[in-house]
Amino acid sequence: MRRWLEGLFCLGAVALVALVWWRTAPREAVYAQLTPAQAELQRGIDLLQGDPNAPLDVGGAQQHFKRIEQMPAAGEAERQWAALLAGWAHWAASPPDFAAARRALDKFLRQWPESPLALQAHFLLGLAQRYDERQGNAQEAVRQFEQVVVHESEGALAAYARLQLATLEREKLKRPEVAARWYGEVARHAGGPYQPEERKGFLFLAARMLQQAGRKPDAIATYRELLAWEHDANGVWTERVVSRLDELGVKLDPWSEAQAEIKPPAMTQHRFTPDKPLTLQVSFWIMSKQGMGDAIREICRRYHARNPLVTVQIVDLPYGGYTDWLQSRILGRDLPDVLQMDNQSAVRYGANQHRLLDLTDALAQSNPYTGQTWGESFWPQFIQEARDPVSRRNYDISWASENNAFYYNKDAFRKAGIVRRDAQGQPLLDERGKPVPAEPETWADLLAAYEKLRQAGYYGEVCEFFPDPAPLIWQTPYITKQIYHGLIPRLDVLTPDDFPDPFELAQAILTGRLDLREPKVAELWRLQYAKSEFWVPGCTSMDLHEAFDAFARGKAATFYWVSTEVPDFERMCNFELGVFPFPSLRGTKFYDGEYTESPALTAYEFALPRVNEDKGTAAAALDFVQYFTSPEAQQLLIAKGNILSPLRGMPASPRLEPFLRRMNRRGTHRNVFNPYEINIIKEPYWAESRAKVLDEINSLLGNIPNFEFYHRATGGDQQAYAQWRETRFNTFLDNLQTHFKWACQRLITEYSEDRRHALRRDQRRWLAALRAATPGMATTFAVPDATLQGTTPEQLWRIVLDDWDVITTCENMLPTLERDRRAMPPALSAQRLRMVARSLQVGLALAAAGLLIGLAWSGVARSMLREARLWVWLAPTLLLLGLFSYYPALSAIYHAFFRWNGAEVAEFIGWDNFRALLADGVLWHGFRLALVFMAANVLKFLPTVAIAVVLFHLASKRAQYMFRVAFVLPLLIPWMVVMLMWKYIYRMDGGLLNTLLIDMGWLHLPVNWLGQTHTVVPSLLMIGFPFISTIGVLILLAGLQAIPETVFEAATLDGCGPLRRFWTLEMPLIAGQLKLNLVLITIQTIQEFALPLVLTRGGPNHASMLPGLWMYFNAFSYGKMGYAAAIGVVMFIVILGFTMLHLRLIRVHRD
Amino acid sequence: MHATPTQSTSSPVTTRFMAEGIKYAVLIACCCCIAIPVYLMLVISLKDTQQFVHAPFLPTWPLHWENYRLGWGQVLPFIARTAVVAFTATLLAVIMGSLCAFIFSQYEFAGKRVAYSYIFALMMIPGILNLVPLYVLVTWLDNLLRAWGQQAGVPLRLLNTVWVLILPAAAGGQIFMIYVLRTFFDSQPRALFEAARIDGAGLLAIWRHVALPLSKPIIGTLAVLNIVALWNDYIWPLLVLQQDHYTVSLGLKYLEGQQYVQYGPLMAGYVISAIPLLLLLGCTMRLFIRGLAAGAIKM
Repeated sequence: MRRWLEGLFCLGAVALVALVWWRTAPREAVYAQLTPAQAELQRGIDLLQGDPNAPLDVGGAQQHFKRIEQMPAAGEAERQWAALLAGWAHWAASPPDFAAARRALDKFLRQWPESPLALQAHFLLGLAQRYDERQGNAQEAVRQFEQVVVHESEGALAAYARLQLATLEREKLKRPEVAARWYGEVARHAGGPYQPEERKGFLFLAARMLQQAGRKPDAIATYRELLAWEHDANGVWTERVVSRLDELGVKLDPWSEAQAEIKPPAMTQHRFTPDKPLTLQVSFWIMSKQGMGDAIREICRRYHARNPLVTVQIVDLPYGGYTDWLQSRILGRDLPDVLQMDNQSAVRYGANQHRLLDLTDALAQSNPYTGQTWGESFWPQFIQEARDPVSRRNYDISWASENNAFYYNKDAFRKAGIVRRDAQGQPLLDERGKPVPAEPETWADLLAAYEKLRQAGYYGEVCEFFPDPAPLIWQTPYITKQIYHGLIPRLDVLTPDDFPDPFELAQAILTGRLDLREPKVAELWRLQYAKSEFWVPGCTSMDLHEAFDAFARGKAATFYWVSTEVPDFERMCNFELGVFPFPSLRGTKFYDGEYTESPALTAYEFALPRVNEDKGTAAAALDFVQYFTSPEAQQLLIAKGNILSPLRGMPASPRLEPFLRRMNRRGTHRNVFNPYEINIIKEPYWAESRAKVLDEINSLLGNIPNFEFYHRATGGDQQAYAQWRETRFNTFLDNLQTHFKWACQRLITEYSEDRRHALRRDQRRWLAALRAATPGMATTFAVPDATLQGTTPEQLWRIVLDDWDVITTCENMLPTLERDRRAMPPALSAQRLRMVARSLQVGLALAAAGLLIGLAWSGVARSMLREARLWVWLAPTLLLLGLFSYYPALSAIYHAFFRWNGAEVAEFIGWDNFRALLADGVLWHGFRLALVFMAANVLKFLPTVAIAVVLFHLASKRAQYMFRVAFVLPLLIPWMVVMLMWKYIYRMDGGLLNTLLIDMGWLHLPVNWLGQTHTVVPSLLMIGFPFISTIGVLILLAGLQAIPETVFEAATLDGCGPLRRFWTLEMPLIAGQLKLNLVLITIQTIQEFALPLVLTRGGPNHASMLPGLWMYFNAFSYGKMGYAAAIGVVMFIVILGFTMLHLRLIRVHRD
Repeated sequence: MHATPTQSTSSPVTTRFMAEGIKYAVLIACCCCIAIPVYLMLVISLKDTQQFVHAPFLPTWPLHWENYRLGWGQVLPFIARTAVVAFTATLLAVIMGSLCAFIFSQYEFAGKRVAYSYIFALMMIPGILNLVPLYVLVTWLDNLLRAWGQQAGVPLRLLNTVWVLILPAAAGGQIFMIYVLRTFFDSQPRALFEAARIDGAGLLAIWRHVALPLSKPIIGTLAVLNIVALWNDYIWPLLVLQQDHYTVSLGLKYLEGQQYVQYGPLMAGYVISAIPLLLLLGCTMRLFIRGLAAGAIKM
């Protein structure tokens, strides 16, 4: 019986090893079913395409392909494939071997010029010439691409080839006329792979090329053709064309080119009928805005009434924390069917991570609720702004917009005497007999008004700064539109489309062509800086609530905010509320011209997650979004939510009159860019540098910007004050320049590296799609790829080309040295990697088997049988711990060596994560910070000891009990309540601490406790003052009470004073417990991160970023799970050290 | 130095009186500091927006009791859900943990050392290391359950249910309990258990009738601590729950994060959310303190 059980264990062990061995072995069984040639081909393809997480094994695959050549029995199809793939593999390898690829492809084309794969071969060959920086031959590349166009003039591949030709002619061969021809062909080729807006861009380039070549009449004709393509004056190209035509001597009013009047389409009787009833979840963060919430609920109700089979369920989430929530949902693939999502996140998760559905094609088709093309019912700028700037695809769609303006306190304006006067100097009166406030029209008016307000005892403006200085950021487009127009031609260098795209901006900053310190560019901040003198002091630390309180309380007279909140503001202010638009910069230094158009804030967007396809709700979700952007729904949003509709021809809400006064959607300078926004959305480096920039803005505009406070704090006079301001401003600009340079560098490095990894996947998908799409070409053994879902090789070509373009653009910007480092092959070759992985897996299996045998041998197996009743009761615990504690821990250690996103991407990268970790300044700062926290927490234990001792020596037992109960109080209040209460105590404006300290005269100025790098850590540490730990007091008290009474009596008789008694008697008796507690505290402190997460999110400028929090952000915000795991492992090692100490102490204590 | 007779009679009394006075002063000052957030919470919970804006710290009249009605409606679902999670998980952990501790303490069998080290080693693994893979594991399990559920026609879920909080908590909560309780059982006279065994009681019966009553105060303390910890848990629920399934910590943060916060009802919500723990500790205070004295977390 016993022997039998042990035998079973051993058998299991052997089976385990065998299973793993077999699972990891090459797929011999599959190959055996094929002919020898097919098997060789499949072996080669498996090495190229098998594991998307491993590098291509080019060498291994080549050997198999060579063997096919020498096989007399090999069929024509296998030979062709082998020859083509031999070329492809060299081209797709990392780094690519272009020369070898060219040789192989040449050979292929010589041998099979008529092969169905010849087209692809020509294209590949063209690319192998074009992207080869060292030996590529542009003429050769042109020849190959021309071959593609000759072979197939209509297909998508031909369109790509034409674009390649145009780019080559423009960039390399410098023949603008030829380039113009190719650009024209792509542009005029409707029905190809390019969207209408993109084709407009190509036509513009064609015209530019003609202009460059000096063919004036042709250029004018082409520009005019493009104008005709623009349906109305709001097309993004109109203004660029008009100003180019102006150069050619053709004067045009852009608005005379526009169509007369646009009316919104009528609603159709469309009904959406799914197969079975379904529920659609739609998440919003906006529901707490009263009017908006009502409108959305009503829209969902009407949608359900129209389409009774679909029930809409609103997931109402708070604004703060929505992004966190979304990030974790996206990682868990457990998402509502429709998400309210800003376009930056949409780009990040859409193009970069393939988590969102691509809406570009749907935009080109009709919206069933109107019968009109969906995309064309929008003002083009809304499609444009919601587009990924790199892949030019739409992953989200705007459903509402808002405008901004200064809300102002009319009563304050009247009190300050800022009123409109008639010719006699008498104030004009409104219908209620009150003077009409004079709303500032120009920047000078605004500053003058602020000065008068100051004399009347009001601060000019209050700005919300946390989490972002949103009002300030929203003002920047208005300023940039008025002063940066003239900068555009200087920076538009990579593609001459009169629009500096993100890469061009990055390049300009990196090469020094754009310096943020030059006066014109710095003017934006100079203007804001001048205005900040009138700000509510310390408003740079306020969040929306505080800022709004300051305005509602009448402290500040203006507040720059969004139009959709008119009703909420009216409800909460008890003075007369007015609104005026952003003033004109006429009369300021670098003013480029008047501008009168909406900033088109794409404030509210929808994105559809890809998981909808699996859930079967994709069609319904799209239908819902289309209804949401139909006139009927928009009408509701306009009426109740006060939005500006992104749809053309929709009227605006009458309440928005002040916001619309300057926004007739006609004007100049629409073609705007902002050098301070580089919109290649790549977390975390952009987020990181953005945080730094915001911190700079904080330090410039925060802390005593006005003279009164400066004088009170330093005693300096006006002159010193002016000097001080100037110095600060220059430092600010220097820092800004440094941060932007750093950001561009990191951005480009990271971005190209990421794209390299994406390219590897995309190329493999291309291969799979090509095999699936080529009839009769050895498809018998093609393994279907589930991720393709009907994607054609042509579609994948576009993705691959985009990847390549981005990589080359980025790398051309990097210094050569950096580029060479990046082109290095991966640390382990594909063969080695496969071997390592297999030995690792088999090794693990062997270890597990060894454990099994060991258990059997040591009698545990027998004990399990004999003592089955014991093991049955132990089993649940052992299994639960194995699943929820051991498995995750081991998985973390394992994945620390991977580039891992928690899902499909898990590429082995050796020690790279740890190397990156060594260079990660934020992390090391975090560890230093953790040390500070540890030391502080140890000190913070002292009050507990003191209180326990004092309590113990209370004469009255009754009082002792009462106090003991009182000290249990902190334990009872939920931790979150304590945190939020302290957040409230630390508020800058009206917080308890500042109010107290100022009232007592200890502070002149309110301090931004949680918002400044040098106060945030002490503030966090002071939370919980006076740091009495309930449990600690109770334990120590119990310990003291266990000391026999006689000991104390003896001590008192010996004449011991209280202090001496403490050191000689009590301390030694409770010392063991103290030590244990302290070690426990240190272990807990290293892991702490909920505290800064809730209160500061690690800010400002990473000043409170504890290592645990950094890990959390890396994992759940930046999607770098592997890196996060590596941080976790380092922390584990540190904690392990402390735990060892802990265990030793326990043993000592026990002894 | 010799004190004069008059002083020698009065001085100790005065010093003692002084000393007592200082002790009371220190204790009362500490109590006040502790009470500040509580005071703020209570005072603001009775204000409307205007009162809050103009006098946030001092009591104002009229008192707005309707805030409590609003706050109650807001936090009740959070409280109910958290209570279910905290009590179920603690119950499971207590049952499984005490049984394991009892077996480890009172029975000798091959593999005991291995199994005990297996559990004890987990004391060294920080929770933070597990966070990321645990999340991935749970989403994987969730997908698996959903797939099974679809086949069987049952809506099986893990994410966004109470179980995703209960199961890991029940597992993790046991480690410390097993350690403490085993130490405790080891320190008890073996005769207690032997007698029951000689009487013919089985494993479960001894556990139920001897071990559990014996360790009642300690288990009580451990359970209360466990419940409090779960009550305050923030990170894990943040990752695995959606808004319609929020627990107290998340719910309060959620209310505070709204674009327009009305502080009165918000603070009323805070006050209400503190009540369950107040009740819990109020009922178990004696047990709790006795357990602490008996060495629940003394080690």
